[in-house]
Amino acid sequence: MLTRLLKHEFRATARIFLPFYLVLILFALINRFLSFEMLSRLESMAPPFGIAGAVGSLVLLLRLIYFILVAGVLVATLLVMIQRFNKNLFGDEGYLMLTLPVPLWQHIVSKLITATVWVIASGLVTTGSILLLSAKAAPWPRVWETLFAFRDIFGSAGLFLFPGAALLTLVSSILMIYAAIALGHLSPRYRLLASLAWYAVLSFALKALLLGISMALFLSQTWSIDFADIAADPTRINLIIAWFWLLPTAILSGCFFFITNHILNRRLNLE
Amino acid sequence: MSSAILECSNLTKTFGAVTAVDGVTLDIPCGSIVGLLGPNASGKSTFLKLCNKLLSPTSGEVRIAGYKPGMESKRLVSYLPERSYLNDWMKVCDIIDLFADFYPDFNKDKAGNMLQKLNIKRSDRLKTMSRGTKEKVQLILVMSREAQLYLLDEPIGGVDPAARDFILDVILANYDPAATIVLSTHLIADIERILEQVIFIKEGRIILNKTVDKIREESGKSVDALFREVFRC
Amino acid sequence: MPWELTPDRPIYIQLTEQIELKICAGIYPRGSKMPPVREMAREASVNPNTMQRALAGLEESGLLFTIRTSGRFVTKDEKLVKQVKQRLAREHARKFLDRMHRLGFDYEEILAALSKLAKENKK
Repeated sequence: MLTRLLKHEFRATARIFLPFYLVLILFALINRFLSFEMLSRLESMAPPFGIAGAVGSLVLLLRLIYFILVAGVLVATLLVMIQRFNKNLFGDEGYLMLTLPVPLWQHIVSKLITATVWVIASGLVTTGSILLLSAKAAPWPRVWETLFAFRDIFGSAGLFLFPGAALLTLVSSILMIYAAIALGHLSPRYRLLASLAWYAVLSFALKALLLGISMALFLSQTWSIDFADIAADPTRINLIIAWFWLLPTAILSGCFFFITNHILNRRLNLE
Repeated sequence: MSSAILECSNLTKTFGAVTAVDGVTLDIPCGSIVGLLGPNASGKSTFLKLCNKLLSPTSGEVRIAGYKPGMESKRLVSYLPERSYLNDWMKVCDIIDLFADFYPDFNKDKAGNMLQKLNIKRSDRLKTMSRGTKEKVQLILVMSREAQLYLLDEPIGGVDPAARDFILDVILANYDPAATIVLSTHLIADIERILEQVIFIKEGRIILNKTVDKIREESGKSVDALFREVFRC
Repeated sequence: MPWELTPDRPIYIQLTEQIELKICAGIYPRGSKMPPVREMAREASVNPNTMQRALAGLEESGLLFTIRTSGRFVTKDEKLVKQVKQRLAREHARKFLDRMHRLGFDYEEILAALSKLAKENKK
């Protein structure tokens, strides 16, 4: 059932993202060819009066559109993530989705996976479009170089640990949005406002909690961190990441998931 | 197992200070078409939503074929809400696909035939349809399932008389006598003859639960006339 | 012949009467197979269970009979159908007389009016 939910979830979101990505890449390409360099070349050819100026403003306009598109993709990624969860489960569409014979946790998971994939895709496409726009040479040699350098410092484990931790952080922040929406649903009125308030509360509480735990551990004798050790063996930092970043994020993600699932399961009130 | 497909005991739902469903105790037997009749805001929709777990009861409980509302009951129940739940961007074939994917008892051919009768193509977008057509599409989807219990909230809500005939015909043509239909409405005259049993609901309470023929025998009045008398303002 | 149902009397009784009428009128001929219940219910736009109840009543009175494997049939008994016809005719006539009395006609006047109407119809 989860795969079927995913299929419909991707179908519903791909129709927004794919055309958006296409336009973004298209504009990156246009911008590359209609660049300022071309403009200066045009000027050196001393064309009739006015044309250079017109082309110049066109180039500026295209740049502007491109940057608006980049911002648009990022905003759309966030908005679609929120809307798909809020409208599809807590809005009118919830009447269909929540009466499907599917365990409720699968709704959360399917939306989480889809949102995660689109966030990563949006990031990659945006980065890719910037490279398309400006890169002089293929970026791959430098990417490999950086990766190897990274591995030399932090070891192979570090190579997986950092992206893993980043991914988990992404998952956890999406789940926090879901939990805030679900908690906002509990209030009888102004649910959207309540969701925003809950989001503020959750993110504040989260920071306070993380800070408190790390401070406590940092100060306690057993966990005292010797910076000289890290300097001697940078792979030690992996352990610190695992304990101070991965573990708390995983626990928090679990909490957010539990809150959302519990509300969908026991406290649902579609009006 | 009892022969009741839907049982509730002391079911209550309050919204703040308002009691929408007030201590409803009820058994609905297998194999009948039951009308849930009451004026607007009498608690009909709330009751049906409680049966679908879209609302959580304040107290009391509902059971469907012995199950509390949940995964098992959702398999058995085909629910038509009083609002449109279809995404506007979808095509007819997308939504058919969705029903076929999730409901093993969904009969694709049945849905296709009925849609064809309305001249609706599989490639039509829901965005281009009128509200009445969307309502019909939704009913067709719901009635194309071979479910045990159909819960239809205002299936003849805002539609014109010709559409009403179509909807009644869809319900009758797809009704399997072993299944049960509970439909809520405040437009009784049109629907009275397909009902076997009626439940009057007023301010969240059940005030009458009888068969249509019994009402006519005892009062010499149609259910519609009796309804007007009971709910006179 | 369309199905006409009035709102004041039980539906199954009205269905019974109208099926009797259709049998007498030969719409459902003697010895013929009746349509399936669901189809009849759909045609009359009534609940199949109500239609079933009416048919079961007619089976009890002998006007219909069921063969387990092949379905429900109209009786072949000519005398029985004739009896039903007589009964229906008497009921209609009684109702007619009732109304005429209420209009203030006595028997002679009713008969005169009837024969006049019959003559006019012949022309």
